[in-house]
Amino acid sequence: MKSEIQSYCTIRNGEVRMNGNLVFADNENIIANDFFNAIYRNIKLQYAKFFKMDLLCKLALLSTEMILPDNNVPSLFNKEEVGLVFSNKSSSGQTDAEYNLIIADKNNYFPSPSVFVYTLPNILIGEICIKHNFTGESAFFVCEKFNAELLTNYVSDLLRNDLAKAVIAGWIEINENKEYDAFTFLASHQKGRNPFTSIDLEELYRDG
Amino acid sequence: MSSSVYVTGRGVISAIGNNVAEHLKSFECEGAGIGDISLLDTIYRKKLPVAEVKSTNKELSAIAGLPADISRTALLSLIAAREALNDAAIPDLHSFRIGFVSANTVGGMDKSEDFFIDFLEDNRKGKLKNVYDHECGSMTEIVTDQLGIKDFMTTISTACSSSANAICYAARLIKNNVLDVVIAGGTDALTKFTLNGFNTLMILDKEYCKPFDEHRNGLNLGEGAGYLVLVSEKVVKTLNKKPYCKLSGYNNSNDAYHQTASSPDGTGSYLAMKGALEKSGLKPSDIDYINLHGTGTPNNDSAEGTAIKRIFDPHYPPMSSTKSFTGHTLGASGGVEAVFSVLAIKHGIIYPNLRFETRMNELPFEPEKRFLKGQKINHVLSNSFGFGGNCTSLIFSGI
Repeated sequence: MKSEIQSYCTIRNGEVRMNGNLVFADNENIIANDFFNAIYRNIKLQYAKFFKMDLLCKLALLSTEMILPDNNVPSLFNKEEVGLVFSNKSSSGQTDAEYNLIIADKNNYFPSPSVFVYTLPNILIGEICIKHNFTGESAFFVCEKFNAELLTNYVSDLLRNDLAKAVIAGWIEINENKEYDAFTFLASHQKGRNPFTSIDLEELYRDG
Repeated sequence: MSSSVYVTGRGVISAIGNNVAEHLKSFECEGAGIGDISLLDTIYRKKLPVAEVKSTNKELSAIAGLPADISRTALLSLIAAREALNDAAIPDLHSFRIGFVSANTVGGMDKSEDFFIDFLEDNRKGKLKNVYDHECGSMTEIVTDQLGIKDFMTTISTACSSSANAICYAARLIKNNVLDVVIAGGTDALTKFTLNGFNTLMILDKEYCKPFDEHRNGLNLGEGAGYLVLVSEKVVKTLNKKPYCKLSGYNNSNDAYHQTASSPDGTGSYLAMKGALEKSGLKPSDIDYINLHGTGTPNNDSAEGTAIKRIFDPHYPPMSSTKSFTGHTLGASGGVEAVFSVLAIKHGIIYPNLRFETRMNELPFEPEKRFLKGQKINHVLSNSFGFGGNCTSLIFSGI
């Protein structure tokens, strides 16, 4: 059975694009944290826990919210049947560095557990799962660059073999300079917006 | 997707040995690898016990054939991965499509810590070479090059279930005819970063850990690497030996509860074990041994135990946590324990759950305390659960 892309979203350069269309931009706040908080307010998310998250999780949560309009995935699919496959280049490096600074400074030594919990990249999957109660298969890959083939293969395999009915997947990257780049998409067997091949995915990622 | 995935090689390094043979000896004489910190440079020496691999970086580099200034994570990885590949003894190896799927969570953090000591004193100082391989993917690249693998490599990082997920992914690559041979597992070295981090989460036991004991008090961190060589049927036909076993089932599920804590009823653990059993077509009563995730934290063991009760009650197979020997090797643990699971089938052994004294109040079962030999072990379930709610179960079956 063929799977198709239902929706996709990019968050980069102070802009949020949904299915190729600009839906939000904030020229005043293009710095990662300010911009993410601005998106949160713009989409009227009510999830106080968001403000405790590191940048990587904030970005992942927001870009997932974007592709789940009206929270409709849970009504379309069983929560056990929603899989998540993400990847990036810098893993949790930005938070790792922040955490390393607080343990390296002997005069101001405070290894904060609330920072440490975010020193793993797959915590972003955990945060999405906690919010939506998804319990399907998940994986996180660390790659040199956006790898459309890897994501297409893994996501297609989950769908083809009925391990998931819907998969949320993509690229959630924050580097140590807090430069961000997010691309998420929702794929399933339903009639969708775009065909789902690695070539299509590469184009959607590139063109946003 | 009906094709089988066979295990034909295994390699492991941890606090209880630098190779498979040394591990078997340590298990038999019930020698735990946990002790005072002797290699890691930290303020927690003599305060927190850990399970260190008992070789300096220099000694490891001599075994690995890599420079001594490379990350310990990569040194451990190469030693275990090479042992696995040699053990597989695939006659015409390079006629096949070969991949390396390696998991880790700390990457080159040990070297980054060295860098920061000088850099924070003076931001014109600090060897940049020490941060060059900071990222998790770098560890995999170094080892892939050393093994001469050219077809495929990737790095999985999903906390403590990382290398179990590497094994699932490797199986899929074979089943989908993308690769013929995959070395899959993971590695992690001890670092100040992880020791401090787990200490702030207040889940480290100041004594030796006691998994699944009513009076358990937390985990001991460990380090190591463990890999299996997984192959397709096509490769099996070319071997001069019988494969050890098959990977008959695997599943990954999310607990969807908390970043670092397990849900009280172990939803993710339950779904992972149930899914792996379904995939293998086995009944709970077919399982001959469970290699527990069994970290020794009150939260994990209670959640995992509750999930086991839900699946296995009233007939419980023997089970144990080998973390009572190796400590919790984090991103390596799924690979290390997959090797132990394969050895259990091959040698008919069940590992003791060291230091167990008192059954947990809420559970009607307890782990095995003795080292058992000459057992008939056909199906082994191995659990690996990670932060982020990432829960994975693997099932290995004799042939």
